[in-house]
This record gives sequence, C-alpha cells and structure tokens, in this order.
Amino acid sequence: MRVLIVEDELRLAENLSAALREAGLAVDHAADGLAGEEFARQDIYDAIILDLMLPGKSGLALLRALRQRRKRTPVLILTAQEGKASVVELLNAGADDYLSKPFDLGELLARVKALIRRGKGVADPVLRVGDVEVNSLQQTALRGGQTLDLSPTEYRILEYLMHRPRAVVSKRELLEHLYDYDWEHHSNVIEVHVSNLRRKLNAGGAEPLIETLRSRGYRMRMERELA
Amino acid sequence: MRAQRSLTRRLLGTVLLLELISAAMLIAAGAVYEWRAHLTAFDVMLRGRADTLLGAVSDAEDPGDNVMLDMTGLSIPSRDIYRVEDEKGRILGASSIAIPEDVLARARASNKPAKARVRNHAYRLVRITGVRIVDPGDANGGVRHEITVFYGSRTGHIRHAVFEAVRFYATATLLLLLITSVAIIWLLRRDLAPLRHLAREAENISAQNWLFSAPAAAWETAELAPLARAIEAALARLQRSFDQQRRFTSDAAHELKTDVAIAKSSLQLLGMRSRSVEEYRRGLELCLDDCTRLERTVQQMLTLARVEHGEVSSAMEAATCSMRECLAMSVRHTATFAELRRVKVEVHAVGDSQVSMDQRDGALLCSNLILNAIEHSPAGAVVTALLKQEEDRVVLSIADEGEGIAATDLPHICEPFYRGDPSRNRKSGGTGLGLAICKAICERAGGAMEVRNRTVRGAEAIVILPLLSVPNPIPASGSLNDVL
Repeated sequence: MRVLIVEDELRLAENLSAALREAGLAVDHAADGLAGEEFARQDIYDAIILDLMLPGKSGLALLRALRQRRKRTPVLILTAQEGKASVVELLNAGADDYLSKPFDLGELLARVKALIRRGKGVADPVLRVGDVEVNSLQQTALRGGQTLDLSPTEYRILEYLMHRPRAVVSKRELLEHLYDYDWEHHSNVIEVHVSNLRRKLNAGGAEPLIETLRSRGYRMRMERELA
Repeated sequence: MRAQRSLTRRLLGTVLLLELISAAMLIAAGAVYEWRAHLTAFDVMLRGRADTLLGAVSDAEDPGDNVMLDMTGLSIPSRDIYRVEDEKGRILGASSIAIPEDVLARARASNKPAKARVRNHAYRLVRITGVRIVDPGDANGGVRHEITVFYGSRTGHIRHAVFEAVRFYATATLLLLLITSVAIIWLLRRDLAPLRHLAREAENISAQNWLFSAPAAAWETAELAPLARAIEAALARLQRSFDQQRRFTSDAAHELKTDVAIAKSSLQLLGMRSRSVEEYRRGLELCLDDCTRLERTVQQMLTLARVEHGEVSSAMEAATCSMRECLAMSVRHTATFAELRRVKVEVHAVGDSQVSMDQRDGALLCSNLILNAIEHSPAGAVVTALLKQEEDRVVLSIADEGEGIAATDLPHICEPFYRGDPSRNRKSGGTGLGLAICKAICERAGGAMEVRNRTVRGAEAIVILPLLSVPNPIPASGSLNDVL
C-alpha cells in the first residue's frame, strides 16, 4: 500500500513517513500544494494525508481539483483550524476523514489503514480469500490455520493481492503501491519476492494460489476456481 | 430608568413653564388694565350722576334766597348714596343710606374719588362742587350758593367684571398650554424618530455582526449626522482591531498546534515499538529540537504580548537607551551567524541616538532586524546598518541585498504570523513574529517602523524613533546576553 503525505511541516512529515513506513506502507512526501497535486494525479496512491495550510495551493483547493478529476483516492485531512463549519466544508469537498492537530499517531495510522481498506471495498481488517487469512492490523497471514512466516515485503504483496482478488495486478501496479517513488530500482527484486511468497503459500502442498499471467501480471485465485 | 433625564420632558416642561409665566404676567397686566378701565368709566358715571344732582339744585323761592334740591324726574338707583349741601353745610338732599362722616371728611380733603365701606359694601365716592346763583337778574347780581355734591355707588360689579375677564384669560391660556404641549410632544416624537432608529440600528451590533448603517433619516438630521458618523467610524476601528485580534488568536493557535503536533508525533513515533539505544538517542534529540521550537514560538508570542499590551511601569517609562550601543551589541552577537552565512555587516552611526526605550527592547529590535537581513542575504552580500540623527529623530536603516519582498506581501509583512512563503520561513526557523515584535517595540517608544524594497536590490527596514532631548548617561553594563 502506498500513501502520499502532503505536508509543509518538514518535521511532521518526517515523523508521519517514519510511522507509516514502520506500519508497512510505502510513503511519498510532497512539501507544497502544487507538488502534492502533481503526485496525487498519478492515481497510484491508496490513501492521501493532506494538510490544509499549504504554500502554493491550499489543501482544500487540491482536494477539490482531485475530486473534479474523478480521482477517488481516500483522503485524510490534517487540520489545525477550529470550528465545525470548516469540517463540514471539508467533508463536502470530498474528504473521507479528518484529524485535527495535535493528533495521536496511533489513531492516524488506524484511520489511514481503515481508509485504505474501505477504499478497496473491505471494511473488515481481516481479509479472507479461500483458506488464506490476512490480518492487516497484526500484519499476520494464515493458510489453513497455519501461520505463514513472511518477510515484510512478501506480506505487503500478499495483502495487496488479497485486496484485489481475481483481478490481474501488473508488476508495475504492484511496484507502485508497494514502494516509494524510487520503485524502479525494485523492479527485478519483486519477482523474487513473489516467487518466495508463492513458495511459502504452497508449503503444505496446498493448491497454488497466485498465478502468473505472462507479461500481464499476477492474480489471486478465488476458492471457486481452486475447487 | 427612574433617575434618567428625559430631553422631551425637560423641553416640554421648560416651554410650558415659560408659557405659564408669560400667561400669568399677561393675565396680571390684563387684570390691572381692566380694573383701571372699569374704574375710569365708573368715575365718569359717578360724576355724571353727581352732575345730574347738581343740576337738580334750584331756587327755593323762599325769602332767604336759598336753594333746594328738586328731585322731580330724577331716578337715582336706590343702592347709590349721595348728599348735596350748600356752602353753609345745609343738607339739600341725601340718600336714604347715610354717608358716614369720616367718609365725607376724606372726600372733602381730596379731589380724588374716595373708597368707602358702607353697610358692608364697597363704595366709591366722588365730590363735585358747583355754583348756583339765585336771582341773577338782581342789581347785586343775585345770591351765590356754592353747592357740594357727594355721590357714591357700589363697586362690587367692577370686581366681578375684572374677575370674569381674568377667568376668560386663564381659560384661554390653559387651552393654549394644552394645545402647545400636545403639539410639542407630537413634534418631538416625530423629530426624535431618527434617533430611535439610530439606536435600534446600533442595538443590532454584536461581536458577530458589525454591520451598521445609520438610517437615512439620521444622516438627514444636522444634529444626528455627526453621531452617526462617529458611531460608524468607531465601529470600523473596533472591527479592524477585533478582526486583527481574532486573526492573531487563530494564527497563534494554528502555530502552537502545529508545533505541539510535531513534538507529540516525535514522541509517539519513538514509542511505537522497542528500538535500539542509538535510535532512542537520535529520537530524543529530535524531540528536544521539536520542543525547543515550540518553546521559541511561545517565547516570541509572550514577547509580542509584553511589547504590545504590557503594562507601562514608571521604571520602563523612564528607561532610555542609546541605539548606537544597542546596534553595536547586536552586531557583535550576530557576528557568528553572519560569518556562517558569509554575510558582511557594515555599521555607520552618526549623531545622538538616545531614545526612550528599554535597553533589552532596543537590543531585541536591532538584532531581530539584523538577523532578518542576514537570513535574506545571499552569500557574499553586505548588510548595511545606518544609524543617524535627523533633527529630533533617530533614524535606523537596515538594508540587505536579498531578493526583496513581493509587492503583495509588502503591506502585510509586519503582521503577526504573516509569511509570504510559509514553507521557506518555517524551514529557516522564523516564527513569523519577528517583524511584528520590532514594529510593536517602535510604536511603544512613540516611533514607527516601515519595511520596503530598495530601489536597486534587496529590502530595507527603516526605524524612526523620537530623540530624547536630554541624553541620560547609560551605565556601561554589557549584560545583554540574556536578551539574545
């Protein structure tokens, strides 16, 4: 999962990035409204954390522009402004959630994760496909009740695929959502990670779950197809 | 409400009182006039009747050549009193009601009509004299008789007539007063309506609603127009300062929340999982930095509050300092920073520079401006600090060779928390309060500060302070370390 932080407060952005990365998310940071808009337009983010008071272009204007372009990325607003009126305005402008500064870092993480889940049409933090179960809160994966010992990257690949069962996920898409802006460097490594993941998933001699579609990407198979 | 004075009531009372007094005087004058007119007419009537009596004195045709009163054909009102006598005091005729002797004596003594009380009635009595000659055709020319006639009549009806006249006047006056008061009340009500409209309009003003437009009727009233103008002007001033205050509070809250958010997130990030000692050490350093920043914001806000609204104690009022010394100290204290940025600071100071300012504030002012100038200077540039005396003013100019200030930012540059480019100033560590503090210090000392772009390159801060006429020697203490 990849998150964009648009925040002009450098120290705050650093802390947020560190926290989100530790929670297993890929993070990009834009320091002003214009850069933020450019980043957000690529439509490769699973969630956007947006500050309101930004140089260049205000958070509200950015949000409106984004929604006008029919980008549906979930947006969480960070605001230091008081008053219910601005909250109403924000939600009406297309914000999905908001937190006022100073906020609780744990709460922010929980809200971002919930936004990502809901953005993918899943409300439950525990994802299930076939006999595979992924707990996105504890970042654990089970197959047939057996805990899988996955590396962070392997877990993130699995989680992303679990969010989009039966859909073909291209290598590029996977890279974009798993890594920060320098994802191109990881392009060869991803195949290794996927093959490791597939091996671990099939450890118990179970049905192969992830199929590779040549030059198209990967796909998570559903139970029905497995049977 | 009880003790309130009412203009309407006072005006009405005054007008009515004046009207009442003049009416009373008019009635009194009228009564006197009526009384005199009636008396004159009465006297004429008395004399006429007396003359009639005199005319009725005729020859008695007796041997003594006497005269007698012949009442034939005369009708004397029965209430009247009279007495006709000849020179010998012989009574020729008298009314049935006798005239008392003392009244007669008084009438004899004076030619004027005499007042008298007879049988409990007020009478007025005249005396006329005439001559009757018996047998004027005789050789000796006849016998002369000097006849005196006293005639009196009751005066009661005069008093009655005068009283009636007064009563008429009084009734008319009362009616007039009534009409006047109704007219005054109506007129006042009508003419004071704009005042009530003005008050109603003013009632709607609140901290949320500053909208006030004086009603047209108030503007059209010569007496109310200045009031309406004053209210509008006062409100505009109040609203400006209220808005400024509100903006400041909101900006300050935003600033503090951001700083707190940073410090809090740093600590929470550190506590998210167990880390190595090195990670903790690094994290704590960052937390300390964040706290220092929060502390600086609070410090600056408190300084601004002190300079802007702080109590002016007598000690502070008496405080003076030499701008030259403050400038020199500030340059010394900022030397390291200037070196770091490879900026040269040049100082030229001429003339007297004693101003009425606390030395701490003076040093704060100079160092803030110099630091600002250094910050906005490219490497290798020169910051010029020029201090000079211009008649009774001290002028300090601190100029840099930076990129100057955008025209849109120029009018707001001294406003608290104003930032042309928020990210840049934040990164450079400014709280956005430095210039606001400088401006407040200058204004507190009775001076002014202006920031403008130089004609060639860079920006310039100009401070103008009133020069103290009698320079007080400043104790040469270098205890400025705590300021910076």
